[in-house]
Amino acid sequence: MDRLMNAYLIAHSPLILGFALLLVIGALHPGGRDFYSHAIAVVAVAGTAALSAFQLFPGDTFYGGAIQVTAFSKALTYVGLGLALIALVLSEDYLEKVHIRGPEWRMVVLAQCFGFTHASMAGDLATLFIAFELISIPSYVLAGFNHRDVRANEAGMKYLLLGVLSSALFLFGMAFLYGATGTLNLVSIRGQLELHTSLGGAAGPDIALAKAALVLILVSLLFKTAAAPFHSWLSDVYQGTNLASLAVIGGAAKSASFGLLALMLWGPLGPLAETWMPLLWAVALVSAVLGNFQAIAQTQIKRLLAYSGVVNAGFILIAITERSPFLLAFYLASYGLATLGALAGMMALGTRGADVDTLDDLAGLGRRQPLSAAFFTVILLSYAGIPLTAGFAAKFGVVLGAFRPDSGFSQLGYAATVASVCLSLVSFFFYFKIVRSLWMPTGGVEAPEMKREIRLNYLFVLIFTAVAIVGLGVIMRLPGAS
Amino acid sequence: MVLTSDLLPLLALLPLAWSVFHFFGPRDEATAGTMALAVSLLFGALAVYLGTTAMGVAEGLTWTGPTLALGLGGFDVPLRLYLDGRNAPFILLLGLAVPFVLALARPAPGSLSGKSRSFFGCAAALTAGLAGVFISDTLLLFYLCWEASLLAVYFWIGIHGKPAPRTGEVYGVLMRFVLLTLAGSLPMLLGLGAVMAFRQGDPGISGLAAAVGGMSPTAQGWVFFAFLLGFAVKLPFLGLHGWLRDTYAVAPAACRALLSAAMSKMGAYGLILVLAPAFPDQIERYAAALQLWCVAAVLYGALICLAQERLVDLLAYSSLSHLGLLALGVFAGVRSGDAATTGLTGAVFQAFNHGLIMALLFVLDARALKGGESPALGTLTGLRASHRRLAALLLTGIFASASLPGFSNFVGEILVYFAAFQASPWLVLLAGAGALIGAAALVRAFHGLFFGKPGSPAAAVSFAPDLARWEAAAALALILLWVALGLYPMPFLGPVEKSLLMLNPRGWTG
Repeated sequence: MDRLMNAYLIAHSPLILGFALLLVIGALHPGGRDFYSHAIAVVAVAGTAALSAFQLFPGDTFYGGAIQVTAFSKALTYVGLGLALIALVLSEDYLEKVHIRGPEWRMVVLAQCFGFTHASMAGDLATLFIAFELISIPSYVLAGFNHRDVRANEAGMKYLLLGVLSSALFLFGMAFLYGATGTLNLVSIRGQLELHTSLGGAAGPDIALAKAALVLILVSLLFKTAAAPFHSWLSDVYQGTNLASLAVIGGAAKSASFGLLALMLWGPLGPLAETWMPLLWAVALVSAVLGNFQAIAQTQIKRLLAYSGVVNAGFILIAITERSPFLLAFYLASYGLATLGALAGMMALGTRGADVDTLDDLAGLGRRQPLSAAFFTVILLSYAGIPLTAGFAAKFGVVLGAFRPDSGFSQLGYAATVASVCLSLVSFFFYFKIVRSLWMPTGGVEAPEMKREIRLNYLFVLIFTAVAIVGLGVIMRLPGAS
Repeated sequence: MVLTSDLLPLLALLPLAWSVFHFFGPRDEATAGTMALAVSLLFGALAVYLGTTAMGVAEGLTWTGPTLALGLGGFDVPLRLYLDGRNAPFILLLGLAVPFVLALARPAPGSLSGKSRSFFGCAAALTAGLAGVFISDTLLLFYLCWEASLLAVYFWIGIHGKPAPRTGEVYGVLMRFVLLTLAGSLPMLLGLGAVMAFRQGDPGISGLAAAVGGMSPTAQGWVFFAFLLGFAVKLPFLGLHGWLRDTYAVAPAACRALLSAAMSKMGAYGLILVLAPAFPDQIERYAAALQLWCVAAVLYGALICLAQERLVDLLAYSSLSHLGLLALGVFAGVRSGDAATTGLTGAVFQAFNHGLIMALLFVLDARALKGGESPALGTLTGLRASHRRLAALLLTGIFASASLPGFSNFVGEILVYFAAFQASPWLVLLAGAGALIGAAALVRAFHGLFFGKPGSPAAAVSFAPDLARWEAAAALALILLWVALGLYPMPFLGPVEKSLLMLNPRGWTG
């Protein structure tokens, strides 16, 4: 018991210490570029990831079951913290460019990292909600962080309003779940529901309440992860958010949210699979249609990434219905890496004064910055699902899982899978609009010849994510997983 | 000791390395062009050597590579390549067509405006992808090379394409091509995934028939249509051919020639060697509809030819017509009893012939006018006076494409007719009529462009110089090959037929 208590604290101490230090530095630092807060944040996140590798093992429980470590939770911890780490490295110089105070921004990210680790390690409803809020509230703050920009204010406000709705629904659903089962502990909830369903009990009021809870929680998390038709807010938020915050929100936070959804659906709500699987398939189908077709008209790259997020959300939901933790972790890793790579590409191809915003801003850059453009193209190939990239491997993994003889997919499930894959030709169209701008003569005006600074950290992240994506695409599994 | 089969991966790896070399290599157009030609000749030699060797060996050549652990599916995927009498014709086609096209349809000096790296890089990448498609025995590798070829063409046309009359801008045409191809290959991916998921492994092209055989008839039906769709868009089949004319019109000349010669053969390869062995039941069930579809393509292509003015459009539709005939050979061949391998052997031979003929015709078409423009009926006449070699070779090529006896095309076509006759004499009548009309349209166009008084009644057209002696000699060598195979085809057809018979896994001979 003693070792366990210490293990948990030890594993998370870098994050806690880092947060405290940044709080102090933030109060004292006059502003401008500072290396210390960057170093502290990176060490904190990396330290937590490393320590949790050595201190936390599947099967550990803490605080009477409030925290429960499983193999899946460890995988998701690494994914979430890894993506956050890459986002931190990426943001180093960018924050100064958009006039964001470094220590405070990084402090918020560290708080969110705490949520990433707990999203998959939660053992009861209270911890789950804390993790949920730890992921959400920092996201709102990050979205609107550069408050001098009116679009960031708008993005932050929209995200906040929607997030509050989502939290309220989640809380409501949790209350119903508690009412139906009488316990907060996730394992016990599952046990209770199994008992009721095994007694043939679609009749009991408890199950009806549990199903209502399921729907509320599902809707809440679908809002959070921006699956269609709950996705209308995403493009506006993405458009207004600065690229560094977007790296955290769109990469790490999104992965953690999906992890949370999977945890809920595979864990306590597992016995209700017959109810939530068709719901997820329907949502996946709608996401494939709406996400793809609404992206066609976009000319702003951040909005394009938002709709691509909707499309990928559809695939991830199908992966969740396949109940393969391995596939889900792989998909989240590949999607997160691709998002970070795309943002790194946008940063690398931007200028000191302005970000890359529309397709026109990229025109002709393939010739002037071939290295950045080439790696950015690799990232886009992954998004489009071209073989030899992680994006293809992930989507193919979803297809393989769906068509397995024992997958339990209904006609709706097959329809969702087929629609998602076939509609990726529309995805190809809009991702390759970016490729076209970079490499092909568009007949328009080329992006203005400005002095472009090649920042090493943007390039490093871009190349790292591109190489990781191709590597994952070739070996077709997460390293270290069987 | 290096076995010949160890050289198999080189067929794909050599063009891949060549492509990488170009993307990072010399910017200078002349150097790049010379390197491209040299490596393509090397590739051609390798392909011809391996192809002829494979045809000589009874079981063919196989190569097994490292195993991929497809963790996501939970199973292992061994990388395998194969080359025997079935797919050797495709490799031989590639080995002959690529150097020929790069030599004769090379871009005019100075026309690439500093983008020569992408031009030759894409050509090399396309070659690598095509070689991979034709020799890979692993389904996953097959799909990878399929998509890689598409990407290579996307960049090639996207960067180097030029708008043509009545096509609109290049990117729109390109997207139509790419999206329509994806509309076929994504269902094919689903079909592949379904088979692999069912079998919990990658059966490979050689094991596909057995794997599919274990699936339920409904599942088989869906997978059949998925594969059919993928190959139908590539060939293309009638109705899925909307991209054909405009894509050929905007593509650079070398790209256009390779598209018609080699890329459409991906569809043919799929039909003959992937679809037919694995789904004979479905082909038999839908035989009538499929065969009529092919005959409709032959007739439609031929009739539309009559309405075309530009030689390149004419050739595009003539290509559609001939490929319809090829597909007819496949669908008439399966489960047709004695004539089983006749139709399929004929289809394989037609793939080889059609590819080379189209390579020659498209290349010659691009050599008439400056800038690779295609001559159009009504804008000029009497080209023969200034382009004697071009005229002679083009006319011979047109006669070969019209299946004049003595040319190899005749042998292939007659085999297809034999198989179709077993199904129904009406098919032969209609298909034959279509082929006749197509040939007539081509001859009429030739007459209109090359005979008569030299001159251009419309706006002045600038001519390109006639073919050089070595270029004419290369084309003549190709023509002599057709004559040789036309008079004595058995050295070619024998190994093909033997391999197809050995393949007979689910009784496609009925």
